[in-house]
Amino acid sequence: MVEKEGIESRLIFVLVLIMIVSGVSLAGLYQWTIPHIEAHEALARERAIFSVLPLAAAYEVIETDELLVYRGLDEAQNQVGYAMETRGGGFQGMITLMVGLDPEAEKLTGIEVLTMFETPGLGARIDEDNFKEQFTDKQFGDPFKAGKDIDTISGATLSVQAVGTIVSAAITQFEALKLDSPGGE
Amino acid sequence: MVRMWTDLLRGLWGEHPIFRLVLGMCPALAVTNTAINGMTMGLATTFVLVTSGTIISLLKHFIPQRVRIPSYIVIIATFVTAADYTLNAFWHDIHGVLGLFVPLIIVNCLILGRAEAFSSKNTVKRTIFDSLGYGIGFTWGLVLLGVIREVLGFGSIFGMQVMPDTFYNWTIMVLPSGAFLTLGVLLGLYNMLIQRAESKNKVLHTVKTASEGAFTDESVY
Repeated sequence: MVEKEGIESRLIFVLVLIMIVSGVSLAGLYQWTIPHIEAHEALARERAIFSVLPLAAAYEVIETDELLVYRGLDEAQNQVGYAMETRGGGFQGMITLMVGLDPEAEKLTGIEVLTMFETPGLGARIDEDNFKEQFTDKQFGDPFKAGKDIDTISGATLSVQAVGTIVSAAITQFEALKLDSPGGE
Repeated sequence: MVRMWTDLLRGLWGEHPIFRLVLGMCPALAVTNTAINGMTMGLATTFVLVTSGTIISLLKHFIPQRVRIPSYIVIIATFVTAADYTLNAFWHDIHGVLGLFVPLIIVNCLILGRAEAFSSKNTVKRTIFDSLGYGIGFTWGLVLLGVIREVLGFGSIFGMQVMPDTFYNWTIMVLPSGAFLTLGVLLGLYNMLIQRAESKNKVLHTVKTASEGAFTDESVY
């Protein structure tokens, strides 16, 4: 194992070869798994829409400049509210939420967490049902302050406040859209 | 065959990665606030240990000494990324729980440590046994930490309520400081057990060598 001074070409060759094999195999694996991953994400989004709009039987996508908004419809094609995908900074990374809004009653119909990177066991508990349920039926004008009108989770006040801030910002954005409410067409 | 067993058992008890070698402290402290988190992290680490160990053992004559560390890191990172994609595509629910920890496996020094100390010097067969031993040893260590912290911090084990309603959850146990408290106590207990076993073994060993002497089978060692 006596090695020469300077860089041997074999060192470069081996390292480059390992990198190429690694890169090519990961690219192949990515191509193979990405349709499955996207299908899971689409399914999760659809589930979230129906979860935050309990009365909806179908939904349609509304194109806006930057926001993804879905109009929920019941079986008689009546509008039952809007679902809006929104994101904001959490404690450790971005939190993406689906927020259900009822513009006529000016209240929330529910929230659902799509993605988040909060601390497992602490901030990650914002995804638990009894935390999310407290947002149902909240008024648009509520303060959304952790510890005041939102119950906190021990050790995760920042994550809880992040959800409150994102929801509150979502309401402001939603109201700025001034979507017409066709009601009973 | 006996050698395979010693390879396997070494990581399970005598050279336990958490309690004896004190390696991989980042996941051991960060993700063990519930038992299920500890278990999933342990199993994912085991997968990466076994697969990357096998490849490193296969390539041990091909990889030059001077670029071995970057080579090992690339191989380990490849398997970690592969595990991440595969979990996301086919076990989406588990990925939801584990997704946050998977990238942490790359920097777990236990994996690089075994690659450097064992896989790069031994046969593929022995490497697989060695990696399994360390992987499972790491897993049970994480589960034990997780169970203790979950019982005291949430009153449950694997999400099932075990403590009576009157039990007041010790929030500190699920916070980072709880990880240090639990790990410290367990390290102490483990060392106590090992030391006791060692002092007993010494007596046994001297008796054995005196009586068996000539019958020692060389091939076993």
